[in-house]
Amino acid sequence: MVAQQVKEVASPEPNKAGAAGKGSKKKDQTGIAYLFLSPWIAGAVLLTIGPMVASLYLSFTDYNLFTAPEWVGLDNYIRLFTQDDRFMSSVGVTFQYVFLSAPLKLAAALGVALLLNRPRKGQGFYRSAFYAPSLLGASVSIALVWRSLFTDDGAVDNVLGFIGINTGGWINQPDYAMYVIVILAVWQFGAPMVIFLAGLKQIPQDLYDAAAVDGASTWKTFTSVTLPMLSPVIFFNLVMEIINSFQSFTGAFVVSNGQGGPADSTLFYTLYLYQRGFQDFQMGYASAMAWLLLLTIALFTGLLFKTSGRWVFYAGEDK
Amino acid sequence: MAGLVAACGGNGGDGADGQVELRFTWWGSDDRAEITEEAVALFEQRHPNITVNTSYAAFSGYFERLATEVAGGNAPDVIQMDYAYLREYGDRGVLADLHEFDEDVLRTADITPLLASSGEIEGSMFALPMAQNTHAWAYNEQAWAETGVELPAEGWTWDELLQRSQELTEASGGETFGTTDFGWSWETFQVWLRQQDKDLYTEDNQLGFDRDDLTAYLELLDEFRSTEASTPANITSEIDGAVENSPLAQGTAFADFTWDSTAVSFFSVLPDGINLAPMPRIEGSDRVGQFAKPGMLISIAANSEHPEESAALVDFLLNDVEAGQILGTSRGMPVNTEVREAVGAELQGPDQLVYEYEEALADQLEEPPSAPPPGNSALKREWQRLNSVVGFGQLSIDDAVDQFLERAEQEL
Repeated sequence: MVAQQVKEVASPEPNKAGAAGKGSKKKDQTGIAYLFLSPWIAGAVLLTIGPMVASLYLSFTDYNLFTAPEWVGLDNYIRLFTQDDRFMSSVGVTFQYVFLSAPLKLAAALGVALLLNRPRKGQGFYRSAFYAPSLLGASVSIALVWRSLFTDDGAVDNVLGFIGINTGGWINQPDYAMYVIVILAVWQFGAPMVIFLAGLKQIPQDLYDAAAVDGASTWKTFTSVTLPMLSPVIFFNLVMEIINSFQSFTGAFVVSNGQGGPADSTLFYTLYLYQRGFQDFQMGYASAMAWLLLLTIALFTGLLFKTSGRWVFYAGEDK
Repeated sequence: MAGLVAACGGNGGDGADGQVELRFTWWGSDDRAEITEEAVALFEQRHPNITVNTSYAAFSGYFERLATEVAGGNAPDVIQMDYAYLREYGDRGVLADLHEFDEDVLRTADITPLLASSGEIEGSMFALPMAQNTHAWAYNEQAWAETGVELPAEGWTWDELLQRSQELTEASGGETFGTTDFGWSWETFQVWLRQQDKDLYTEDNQLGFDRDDLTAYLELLDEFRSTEASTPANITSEIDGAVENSPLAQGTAFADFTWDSTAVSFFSVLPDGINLAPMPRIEGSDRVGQFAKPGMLISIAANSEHPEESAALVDFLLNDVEAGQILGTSRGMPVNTEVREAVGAELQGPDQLVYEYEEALADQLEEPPSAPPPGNSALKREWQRLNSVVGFGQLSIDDAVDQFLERAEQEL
């Protein structure tokens, strides 16, 4: 896409130069374009495509980081599905997380965006205040704070104890630990919120005026005007959130101290991948896991795109 | 390329004037970093032609970083090594065989005989111990004494541990548990096995125990939990290896198994400190099961460009009395007997407690088992997981045993 843009910018040039052979001059210009692009091309090849190809190769090998990889064919993949209970439980944990955190986070983001969309005093302050967790949230220190809030005798436990609910801590019990990480994720709704806000601003005021004239209720206006007009933005946010939550790592890593505990209840897919690769020195196995994750994400994104025709409405589109 | 490196780093490569640069990496806390820097500065003073670039990290994360550096062909010259990882690195050609150095470059004669060969795997010496430690029963002596329950002493048994833990929990009105659930500790299981002439692993890297041992031990742990002698699962799952998060430090348990070198850290969290007792024994067995463990080891990278200088640094850190006095017991008891005597004479407070504990046990400690096989870290994690799952009542002991044995088959 970038190359295309550059071409468009570069193309008028030969006409201006005129005299020189049209083709050769154009070729020169393309060369210059590629020269300027070379840092990005080199970056893409060296830092993205290269490692991806390498990891695809490694996923078919037994590789311990220090000695040369040994080709084992599909062994890693077969082992994952037939011999590894923890792999299966990490898949379960991750799906649970994706299906809980992505919708909740988007609902929170949309709700707050709707509130902040109306002009009011101190709007700028509220917007920054709600966005702040997104900036802080991914940091290790916040996850540590979260850990101490939800531990046995932590702030949450104490407050709940005050109203007579004795939980004995959240992060240290398999039934609750996941929710701590989900809450941590939902709390960081700032990024999708900003996108929702931008989307809300794009909805033409005429539509609301027309709805008002027709006497539509607030709810009716929301479901018949706001939601359809916002659907492309919802779609975008949904895709991004699903991808993000599949790849989520920091929260679980810090809250469970890299263990995925208690009792594997927060053993996220990426966490188990990390344990396999860097703690057990099974880099080939970890690579196989990484490729399965990529395929899963591609599959989900594909499915979303497929269903999007039914519910995503683009302005100017005939339906 | 070499020119580029020199230009970038300023002091990157080695100058023509014989100046040599070494990289030395270790894990530990900030205070350990401070004294290590001090010792390294003294070394540089003695060897003006050598500059040592140091780096350190917390233990969690250290080996992940090291693995990446080594895989990238960029291993530090001198590496602080852990017993659990020695074979992972040694077997794969990452570490130099220290036998290849002359005795006057790298002196090993004064290293305590118990540990002298601990870094040796199949004839190659991949590391030398930096410190000695051993298992200990750490307990909050004052709180314990106030309950009136009999204090632990040498020669006590697992049955007594169970009984006294129950009494302690009862005496505190269920507020504080007698002991921390020790199912988290792979090492305690090892002592229990050794007391019965078994071990975690055999010489050929298979499991050194069978289904019955595993079942018996899990039942022992379960008996502690079900009689409230040990911490319940939700408290146990807060254990993450950090002293300040342990039930003993948090005041939810009277005691815990630990390494004696770690014991010192309890003093900064527990105002009244702790005391140390030897491990309980099997009824009627006279084998202590405790061994001298190389607390931390030190290795030289096989592809170091400056093996001689690296060896000089290792030699200095292990055998120099002055260096030993600077380093103190921050990594555990010094392994050089001469250094140990010099350091021991000056110790005070918690350090002295640990020193005396080891001195008292000195003639009963056994030689360490050989370094654990690859797969150990995965199995240890599986062990901790199963204890947690069983503790939460999600799995029966029989099923846990099955899962563990299955895992062992895959990992070893």
